[in-house]
Amino acid sequence: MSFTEGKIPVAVQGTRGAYSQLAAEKMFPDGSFLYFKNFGAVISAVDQKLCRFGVLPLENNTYGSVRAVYRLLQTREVSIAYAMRLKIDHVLLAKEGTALQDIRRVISHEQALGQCETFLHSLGDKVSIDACLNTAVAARMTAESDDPALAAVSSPECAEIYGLKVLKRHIADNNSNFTRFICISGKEESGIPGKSEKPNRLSLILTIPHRPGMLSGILDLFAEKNINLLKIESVPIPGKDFEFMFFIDIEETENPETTRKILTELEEICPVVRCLGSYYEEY
Amino acid sequence: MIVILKQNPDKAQLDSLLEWLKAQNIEVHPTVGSHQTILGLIGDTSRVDVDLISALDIVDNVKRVQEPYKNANRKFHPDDTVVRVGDVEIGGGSLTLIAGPCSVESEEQIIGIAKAVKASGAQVLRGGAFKPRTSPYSFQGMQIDGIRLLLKAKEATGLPICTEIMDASQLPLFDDVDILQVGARNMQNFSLLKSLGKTRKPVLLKRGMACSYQDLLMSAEYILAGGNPNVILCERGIRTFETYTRKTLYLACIPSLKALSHLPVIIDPSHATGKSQLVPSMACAAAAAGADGLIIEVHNDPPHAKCDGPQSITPEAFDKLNRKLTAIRNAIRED
Ligand SMILES: [Mn+2]
Repeated sequence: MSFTEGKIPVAVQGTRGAYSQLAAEKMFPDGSFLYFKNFGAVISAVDQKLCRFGVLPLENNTYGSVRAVYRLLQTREVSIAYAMRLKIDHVLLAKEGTALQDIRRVISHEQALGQCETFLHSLGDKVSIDACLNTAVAARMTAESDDPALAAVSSPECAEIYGLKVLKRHIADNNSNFTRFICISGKEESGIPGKSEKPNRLSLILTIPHRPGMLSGILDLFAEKNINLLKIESVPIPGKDFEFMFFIDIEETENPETTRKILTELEEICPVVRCLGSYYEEY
Repeated sequence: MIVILKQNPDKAQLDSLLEWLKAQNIEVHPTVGSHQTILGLIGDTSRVDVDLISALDIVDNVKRVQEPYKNANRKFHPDDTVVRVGDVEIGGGSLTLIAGPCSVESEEQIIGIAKAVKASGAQVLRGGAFKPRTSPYSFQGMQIDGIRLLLKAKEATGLPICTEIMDASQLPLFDDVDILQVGARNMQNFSLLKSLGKTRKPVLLKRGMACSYQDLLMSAEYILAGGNPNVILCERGIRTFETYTRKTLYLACIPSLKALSHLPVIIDPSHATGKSQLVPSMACAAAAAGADGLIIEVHNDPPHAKCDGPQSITPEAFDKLNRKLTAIRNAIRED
C-alpha cells in the first residue's frame, strides 16, 4: 500500500477539477488523489493496491446511468464502501477574451453535454458539440488549445484551476442536478476513515432465470420482508440474446439477519447473486 | 519497461506511483531529459500492469523494453551521455582525440609524444602500462613504472591520461588515472566490470573482437548497473576472414550503437587496421560517420616501437590528420 505523507491514496477518473474529484474531496478531506484516464483503471488501482480507495460516478438524476461504470461492475470484482450525492452545477468555460457568440465548438463528457442539452441547443447550428473523456479534461483541452472558439462544460472549480473565464453559469437543464458517486475499496475495508454512519444501502447484482414470473417473484421476496427497493436497473449481458443482469439497491435493514436471509433465498433462485456492499450513502 | 511522463508531473501523484513500484521490488531510474522525464523500471516487470500505469493522468506512454540492457539503452535515456574528464567532454558528437603510444617506453618518449600530440589538438593522452599481449614472451609493459611516467606526462602537459586496467586488484594503482581502459580481451571480465561499476571513473570499454553489439552493451550494463554512468564505448575491429588488415573495422557500429544506446562511441582505427598507412583514411571515415572520438596510436619512432609499431603513426602524420578531421567535423556539423 502506498501512502504519501500518511495521506490516503484515492483513485479518481479524470483530472483536477473533475466532479469525481469534488466528490472524492468530500469523502476524503485528507486524501491524496491519483487521476486516471478511464474508469477501469480506477478499479485496477484499488485491486492492485496502488490506491486504497477509488471514486466512480454511477448515475445522474437528469441523464441516467453512467453506462461505462455499470459495464465494469458486471465483470469486475468491486466492493462499495461508501457513496454520496453531489450537486452538479455546470458552467460554460472559455479563454479570456472569448464571448459567448464567438463559440463554435463545445466539448465535455457526454453525460455533462446531455445534462445541458437545452442550453447547448440554444447556441445554434454553427456550434459543434463533441464528447471527450471528462469535464475537467475538456477544461484543460480548452486552456491548452490555440482555438479561441472552443468552450468546455465543466465544474466552476475548473475556471480557476485552468485559468478560464466563466461565460455562463447554471447551464444544466434541471437545476436540481445530482450525481451519485460510489467509493470502492478492497474487501477488507468496511466504510471509509472519518465516516462512522451505519450502512443505509445495500447493492446487489443478480441474474434471473428466463421464465415467466421470475422477476416479479423476486421482487415479492423484498416486499414480503418489508424491504424498501431504492433502485432496480437492468443491464444487458454482452453477447447474450437480450439476457440481463439486474442491479438492485435496497434500503439496509436494522436487522442484519433479515439481509442475510434474503441473500440465501435469492441464491436458491438466481444463477448469480453478488453483493457489492452494504454501505452508507451521504445525501 | 519505461514510463514516459507528461511534462511537469504532479509530485504527489508521482510519489504515489514510485512508492507502489518500490513495494513491488521494482528499481526506478528517473531520467530528466530536455523534453521529457522518463522512468526506467528494472526488476521483474512482467507482472507490472502496463494498462494501469498507462491510464495514469501523469503518464504519457509506457513501453516494454525487450533488450536485456536497460541502463545502456537509448529508450531509458533519450539524450546523449556526455562523459566529463576534467575540462574534456566526450559524447554528443564531441570528436575527442585520444592519442599516444601503444606502450609507455621511457620518460623522454612519453613526455615527448604527449607534447607533440597536444600541440596537434589531442585532448587525452593514451599509453599502455599493463599490456595484455598475445604471447607471454612479448613485452608486458612497464607496469607501475609506466603509470608513474604517464602521470609525469600529465603534469608536463595537462593532458588527462587513459591507460588499460587488466584486473580489479590493480585499481589502487589507478587512483590518478583519468580514463580506465578495458581492453577487448577483458570486455567480458565481469568481476573487473563490477569493480569499475563501483567507481565513478570514466571507463573506455573496448568491444571484444568476437562480440556482438548486445554483448558490448551488456558489458556496459555491468558498469552502469553498479552506479557508474561514465562509460565510453570503443570499436577496435572485429575478427573476420580478411587477413590483409589486422581486424575488420566495422564503422556501421557508430550509427548502430548510437541508435541503441546513449553512450559515447569512439573508434580505434589503429588496432582495427594494424597498418599505419590505413589509419588516417579510417579515422576520417569514422569522423564522417559521427564518432564521438578517436583513439589513435602515435609513436615518435614507429620502426623501433616496443609494441604495435606497424600501426603507429608519427606525430607529423597525426598533425596532418587532425587538420583533416577538423574540416570533416565542420562539414557534417548539423547545427
Ligand atoms: Mn596497441
